[in-house]
Amino acid sequence: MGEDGTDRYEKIDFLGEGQFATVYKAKDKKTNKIVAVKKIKLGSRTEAADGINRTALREIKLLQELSHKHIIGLLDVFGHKSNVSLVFDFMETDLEVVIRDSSLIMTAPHIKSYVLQTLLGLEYLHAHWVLHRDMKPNNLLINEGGVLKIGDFGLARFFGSPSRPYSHQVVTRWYRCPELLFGARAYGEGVDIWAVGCIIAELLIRAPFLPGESDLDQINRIFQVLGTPTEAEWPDMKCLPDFIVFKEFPRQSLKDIFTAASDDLLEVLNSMLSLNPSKRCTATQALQMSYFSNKPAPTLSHLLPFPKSNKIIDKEKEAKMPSLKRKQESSDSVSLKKRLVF
Amino acid sequence: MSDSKSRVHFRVMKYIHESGMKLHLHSIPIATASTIYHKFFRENDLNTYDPFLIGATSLSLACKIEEENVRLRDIINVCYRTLHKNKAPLEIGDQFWALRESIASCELFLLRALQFTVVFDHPHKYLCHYLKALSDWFEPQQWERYPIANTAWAFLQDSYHSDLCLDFQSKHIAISVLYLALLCHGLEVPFHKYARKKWWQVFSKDVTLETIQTITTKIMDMYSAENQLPR
Repeated sequence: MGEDGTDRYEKIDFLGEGQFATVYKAKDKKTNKIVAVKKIKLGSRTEAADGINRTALREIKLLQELSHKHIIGLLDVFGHKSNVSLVFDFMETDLEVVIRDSSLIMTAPHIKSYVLQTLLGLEYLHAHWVLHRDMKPNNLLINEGGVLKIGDFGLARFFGSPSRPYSHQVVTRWYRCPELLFGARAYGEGVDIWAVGCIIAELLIRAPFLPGESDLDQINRIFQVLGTPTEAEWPDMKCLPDFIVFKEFPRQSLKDIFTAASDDLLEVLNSMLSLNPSKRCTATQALQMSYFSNKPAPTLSHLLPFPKSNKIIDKEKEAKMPSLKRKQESSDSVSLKKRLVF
Repeated sequence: MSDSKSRVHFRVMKYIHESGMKLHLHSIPIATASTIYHKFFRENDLNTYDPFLIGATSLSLACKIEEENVRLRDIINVCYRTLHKNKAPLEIGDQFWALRESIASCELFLLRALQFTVVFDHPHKYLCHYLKALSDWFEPQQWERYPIANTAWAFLQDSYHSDLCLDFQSKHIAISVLYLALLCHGLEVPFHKYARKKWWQVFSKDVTLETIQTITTKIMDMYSAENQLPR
């Protein structure tokens, strides 16, 4: 893997900026392939003094072990001075853009295709004991050929090790499941499955399904739609660290909310959005449900609708964050001290 | 490897393991730290880099890789204390910040030296499986009488004082430490003499008695090297 990284990739375009990284479109001069280069930001001085960014390291570690059609491919990693850059498959767009592009018409076979691709990727992840922990349309990347790949593994980690508590501050709020909102420190595949349920709902109504404004509002919205769980439905709920008693809402019928959804899809949705995590289906179980074998068949990837612009350009947001890219002047001085007197 | 070099590495490994124990690290992060260290010095010259800095950085990087939540501050303090047993503990000050900065930048340097390969296939998980399988072959009372698991695990952890983790397959190392543990306690796998297939062949198709003996000899050599170390 690339020692010649800085020379190998030719920057073409700026793609976006996140909290931890800047992403560029680039050309791999060795293979002539178009790639995405994610340059990890050093951030503030104090962060720089902590060495390699944990999020980036996590992403490198997990992706080095994973290889699947529906998982983003990590092609290379290179470093120069104090920078670290990750090279990924170039992905034209993402599911959030597709959902938000009102000029695109989303038919049942299209939805089936997106759900199928997502679940195939997720099944593979879970089979390798990896929780993604940040499933949302924005992280479901789509390439030119309409192939969907799960991306952004900055929050992902291995699970199944019983001794270690996990953080409950994971998953973007709108896709966060009730047990996380109640502060669960031990959880499993269910957190990703719940998020996929929310994504399916979003595909159907073309708007975020449960756009909570705070953590409390989030759980309120969940119960308003799915009903407040009873003791019988979810006996362990009251044992969760941040559990609070909620007003008793009746359960609404998903059929009334998603009028366009077929019964077999509602079956999938119902199972994924079970409030009790132990009643939620796994990715494998979901894939075996009749929805995926019934007609209509999912649209082939390359026939899926494609948005015209590949970005949701949020001008306001861009203006608000001016010179975040403070030049790291000290980057030259971080060359390794040869001998250190301990 | 020349004698003086291997002696330095042995000292640094002791320092890594001792610091790791004081930080209450699990076996895996210590194994990862050791592997990173050995890998680095297999390709780089000992005269160019301070082995104790590389050692401390291997520890901090391993903690990040293996998701062990340890603060860099603690690593620095513990490593300093381990190295300077007679000095006063490190105070927050210029020296502390210099150490911290060195480790932070050295982390990135080490990653580049590793070419960002941060996935390590350690023998530990294989050893767990083999122990489970083997324990089922024994009479329960006989198995319980001897601390085979503890002994094998200790051999494995100690084996990182040498760089054999770079030269042998993880499965073979796991089998070898188990072999050595059984030998030490004078235990024989039931029906071993009559079995057409030896127990290690069941665990790994390509392991030979010769490989096992090479590895166990290396482990034994490592213990005698420890005894020759100036105290």
